[in-house]
Amino acid sequence: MVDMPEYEVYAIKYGDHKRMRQENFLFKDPHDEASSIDFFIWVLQGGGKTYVVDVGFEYREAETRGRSLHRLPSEAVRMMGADPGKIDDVIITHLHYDHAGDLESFPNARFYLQDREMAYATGRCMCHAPLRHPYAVDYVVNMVRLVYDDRVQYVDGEMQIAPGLSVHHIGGHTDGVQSVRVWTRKGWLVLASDANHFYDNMAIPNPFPIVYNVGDMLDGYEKLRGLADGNEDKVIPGHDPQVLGLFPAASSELEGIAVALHEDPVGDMNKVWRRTK
Amino acid sequence: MTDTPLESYEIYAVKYARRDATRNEHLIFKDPHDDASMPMDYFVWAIVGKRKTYVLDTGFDRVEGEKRGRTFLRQPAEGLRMIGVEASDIDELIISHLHYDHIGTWDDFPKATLYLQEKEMQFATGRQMRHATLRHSFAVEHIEGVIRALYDDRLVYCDPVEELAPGLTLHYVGGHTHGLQIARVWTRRGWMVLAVDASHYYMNFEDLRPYKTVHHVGDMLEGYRLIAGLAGSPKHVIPGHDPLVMERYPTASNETDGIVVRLDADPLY
Repeated sequence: MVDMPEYEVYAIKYGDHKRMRQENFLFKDPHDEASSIDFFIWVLQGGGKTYVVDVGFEYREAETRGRSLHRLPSEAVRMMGADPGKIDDVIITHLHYDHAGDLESFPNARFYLQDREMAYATGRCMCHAPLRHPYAVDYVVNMVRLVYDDRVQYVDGEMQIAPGLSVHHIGGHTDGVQSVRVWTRKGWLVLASDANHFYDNMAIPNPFPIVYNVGDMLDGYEKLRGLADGNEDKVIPGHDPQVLGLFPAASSELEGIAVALHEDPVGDMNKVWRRTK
Repeated sequence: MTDTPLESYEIYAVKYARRDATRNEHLIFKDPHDDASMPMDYFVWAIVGKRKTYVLDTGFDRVEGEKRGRTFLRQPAEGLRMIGVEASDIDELIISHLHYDHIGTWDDFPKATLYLQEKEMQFATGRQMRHATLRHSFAVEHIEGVIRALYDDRLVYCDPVEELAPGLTLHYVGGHTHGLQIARVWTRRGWMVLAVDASHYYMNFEDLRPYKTVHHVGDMLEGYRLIAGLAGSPKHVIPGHDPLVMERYPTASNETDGIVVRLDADPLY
């Protein structure tokens, strides 16, 4: 077995949006309450390199959609001590507006994207307004320009990016959404991104309502557990505000902003996964 | 079967650019004994029905043409105007494929809905664009324009065989790119095929000699069979870039000599 470095993995919040809990589920839940959706990027450090997962949105799109942008995603990378201009590898889980906006801040990066995500974002499904809505055409065409600059590494299914770091097609939410599997001191950790938005989507299960294929999304929850060697505690949802309370802060200055996902949780994992014992 | 007679269309080829080349520059399998001059013409086409006019392809503009060393003759919309077709009035624009010389002046058609094969977009935005040799024939600004049309609800992705109207169908043909489509049109002289880049020259489909700008040679050869099956006869096939087209068909009017020919007229050969 090739030696795998143990990566440090951080979730950094860059924005949020207040909304009702109902809006997070395909099937209505009678216990509605005020809730919020957090927007994250992820920074991975291991093997002497820094990797970024997703690049969020920027000010213009935040304003268009009425989202709170606390800091540019590239600024979030900087807060973790990395220079966005020196990042070589950025994983784009999918092309929705809240994951693929701040591309220009990474002028030297190669972007890892599933073939099926670009085909979806430029294909016949975009004739349907509900499926098109989460995409920002400016972000999509920026990615196409990167294709023509030979700065996109397309992935067909799964690919190892480095020892201990790989991406895996999941589908469901969009046709080409991918999740990230990374080796840490606690074993395999899975960054689900939007293959699972909230702990409850997967725990109940009750799919997130922005969905292209419900069957694939439900299958995806099983795939995520499999990638985490069956331990759902190692599956990190893409938008759940609870993440910031469940893991220790990356540093005392980053309390409430960035957490270390490779550390032991400080919150009650049984509760978020709705386990009774 | 319906008893309703099909509407017959008039078809016009509008020449908007040209370039000099030799025969071997066009062929995969070169002929060492014969490298005669073989210039290339660039066309857009108008398919004119009693109620509706369709335009097939939009060519390139002067800037793109000069960048690539082509002799630019006129904006495609200007050539169309010579036969009374106003680009700004066109509602239906068929895009055979996304190469620079077929989609370049799409913004001269602000009202139009674009008809394109989904596979063509997948090809033009997908993993094989990392290959400079395949990427070379595309202009990313054009691709961007088409994606914006998609997000503006102005693009229709066609089925592999799509009937736009009785007497006008589009047919997917691989080979040249991954998502090329050609048009079959009912005319006063029967079923005609606008082969576009499924056969650049008469010699490609007549002699089964594949053109050198190719994505899949097997599919390109299959395309020659498809063309033959769709057309009333070989004389009903219009290749996409052959200067012979200008000699083999009469001018549309006295004013359009050497610029626009009428393809549904009886051929002169």
